[in-house]
Amino acid sequence: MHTLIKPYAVLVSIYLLLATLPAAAASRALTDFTAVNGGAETVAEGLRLTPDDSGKIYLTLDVDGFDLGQHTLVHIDAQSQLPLQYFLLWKTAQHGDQLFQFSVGAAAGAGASGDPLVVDMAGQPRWEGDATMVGLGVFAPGRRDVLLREFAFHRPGLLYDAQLLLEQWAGFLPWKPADSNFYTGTSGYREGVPPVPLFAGVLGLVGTAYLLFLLLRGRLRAFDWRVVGGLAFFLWLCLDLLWLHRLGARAVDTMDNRVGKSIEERLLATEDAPVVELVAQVRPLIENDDARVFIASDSDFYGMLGSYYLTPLNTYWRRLGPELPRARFVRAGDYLLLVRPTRVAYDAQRQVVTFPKGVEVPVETLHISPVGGLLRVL
Amino acid sequence: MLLSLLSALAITCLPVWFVLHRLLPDEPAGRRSLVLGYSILLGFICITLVMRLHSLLGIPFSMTAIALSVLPLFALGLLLPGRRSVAVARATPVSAPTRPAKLLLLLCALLIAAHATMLAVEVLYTPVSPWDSKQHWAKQAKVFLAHRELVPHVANVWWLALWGEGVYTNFHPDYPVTLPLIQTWMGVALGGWHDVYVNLPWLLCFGAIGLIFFGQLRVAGVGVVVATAATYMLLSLPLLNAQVALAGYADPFMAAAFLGAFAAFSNWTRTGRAWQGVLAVLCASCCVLLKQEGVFWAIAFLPGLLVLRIGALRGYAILGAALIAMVLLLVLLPDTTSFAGHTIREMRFFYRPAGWMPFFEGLFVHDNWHLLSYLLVAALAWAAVAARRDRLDLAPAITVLAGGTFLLLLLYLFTSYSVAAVQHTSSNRLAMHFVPSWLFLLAVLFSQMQRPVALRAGPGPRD
Repeated sequence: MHTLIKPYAVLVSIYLLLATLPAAAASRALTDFTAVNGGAETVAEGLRLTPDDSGKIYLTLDVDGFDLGQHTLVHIDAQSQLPLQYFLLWKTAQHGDQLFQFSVGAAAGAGASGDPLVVDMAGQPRWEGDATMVGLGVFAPGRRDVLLREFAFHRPGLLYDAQLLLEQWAGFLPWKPADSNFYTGTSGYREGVPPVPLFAGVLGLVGTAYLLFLLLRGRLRAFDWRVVGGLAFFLWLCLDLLWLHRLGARAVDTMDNRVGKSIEERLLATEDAPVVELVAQVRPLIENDDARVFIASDSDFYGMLGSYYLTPLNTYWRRLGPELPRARFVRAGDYLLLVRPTRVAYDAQRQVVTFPKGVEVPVETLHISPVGGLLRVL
Repeated sequence: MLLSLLSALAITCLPVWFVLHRLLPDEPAGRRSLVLGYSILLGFICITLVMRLHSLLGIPFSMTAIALSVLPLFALGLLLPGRRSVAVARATPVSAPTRPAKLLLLLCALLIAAHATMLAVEVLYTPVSPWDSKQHWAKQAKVFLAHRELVPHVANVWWLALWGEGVYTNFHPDYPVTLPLIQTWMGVALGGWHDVYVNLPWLLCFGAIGLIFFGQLRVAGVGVVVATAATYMLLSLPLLNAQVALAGYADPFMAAAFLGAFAAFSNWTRTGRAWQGVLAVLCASCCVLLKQEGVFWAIAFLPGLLVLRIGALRGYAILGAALIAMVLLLVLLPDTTSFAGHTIREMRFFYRPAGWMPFFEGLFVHDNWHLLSYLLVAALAWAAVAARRDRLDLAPAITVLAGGTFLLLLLYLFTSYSVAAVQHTSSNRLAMHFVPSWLFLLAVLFSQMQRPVALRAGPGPRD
């Protein structure tokens, strides 16, 4: 049994090494950087940057013995309400005080809020030699604050690729509705390298090698299913550890965002929030518990939410069809809940809603907000 | 609130637990796990049946009324013969687990606990989130809770025609009401609708799946190490985990019901124990109560019974003829003929090859089921070869799974539901109904692979 365990122990060690090795980077802690323009405040997620009057922030760091030619992959992970523009700044020992700058413009995909960026500086002019200073410039339109989560330099190679792969397979991804339907094992549908075929390939190769080994030694009868089963279990375990890491990060995120909060607060922190708020505002205005409420929205999602959160009122919502039924199905005392976006023709001045076939029905406006409104049929 | 929930849990599980405790003989392996697992599953279904009865009799839903109504189950349990020992012939002596085996058992237990803990966090803190839950399941539950009875739900067009008098509407008014009633029951226990705690049954369902799976594997003669490892593999499946974390779909309950039926059926065909047959019938009936396709999944057991009765060769010949007859029926019957709530016209029968790739992706490329599909293919290949060399008594069970899988493929490759496969919106969820049973079969096959040839027929030694 011990001879069976040894190779697995080696594989486990390699796996743990890859998982725990620090990023192959000359990255420094963000707190080591100095804000030359604007302000920088350390927060739990990284650095909160405050632009100066011209909307710019510059972070710089004096370094020594940092070979730019070897660290050509620059990771920038920042978030703001509006798209950002970045500038890489550096000085080298070979060029003294001369400051070099590289603009990571819109063409490089910079700035979509929350999207991490990888800038490949290989072949860029002057990105060579021993750096004496490296820095990051950020232009934030509207002088909005920026949350900088990562600014690091990586060395391309097998280890970097392996760590990227690990991040794809096990990095944190918040829950999304589609997770109920499928799980790819990567960071998104048709993104990255799916791990399952790889692991299955390893299983197939090692299993075949084991079989061939016995065949060549004339000891096919010694074939032990436990060897193959053990290998399959080990690979399953590896896949599961990737999933468990992601599941654990999600559980931590859930606890961070929901523990100690009321149900209403939790609902208001989800994508349902606009409709939850709207329903909380309009529900007291519906006097009769037996009232009929017609939900009208051009968005299937918001229409469905309106119907759900108003239940147990008797609601009508039609998915994939006209937002409202014919006017002859509506009577005085009914309510119309409009949830934006909506194509329902509502004339606030004349207090009428136009139903299909152009029939105008008089209504009373009970509530209007940017999210929607409640009307009562007269 | 905690006391109410514990009371509801006790009302749900204890009566059924007592009946099963009296029904099952004193098997040495897996008994406690079996009784607890089936108690949870059958307990929830039983409560919904009681609630349907109450609604029929005009009794508003309440903890007291429902608790009193399940008391007769205790009387039923007392009528059963009670525990009795069954002599089990041991083919080989049982040995204590080795140290590496104990380490493996500990590792699996820890990993199962890790999964369960993380899922518990999600279930205990996340409000109802899935689309289908808000669109019909939980929406219906809120209505039932508010009225304290079943309220008819009709299609939009009928709701308009009836002016909404005494009826409600949602996107799937013809779906079974079992799942909404489970959430309604939670609401009754809590004294009102709670957008988070109504999902607690999903966590219990997760536990029930693991318990039933482990218990039935042990009864099937699978050793404790392999059974535990297989149970961990089952409970680690990402899509099953996601379905529990984002609680609200009926699919985990369907997976539990089909597993409960399949595992019991498989063991019944190999041992002839009547209580396994009873469990199989009960759980197959649960499939019908949970989702519309449950009718077809329950029908999938008939080919297995046929093969058991008349043997594999003749059985498959008859099934082949039945398949041809089914095709002819589909061609000859009027378009308005309805199967499980859907007419032939709605299903629009013709071959849709576009459904293959998403299925392949879901099974062999995506990480929904880790390596299960690959391992199952290898195990079935071995089973096909081994069947020629020695008798394998899994033919009826394999037939059931093959039949269910065939019906699943039929749905997504020959009907209008193929769009759901292409968009990956429901094909994996429906595949999940069979996944625990596939893994059960895999574990039993693996256990047989390890045994000497002469011992392969029938359940082997328990350790």
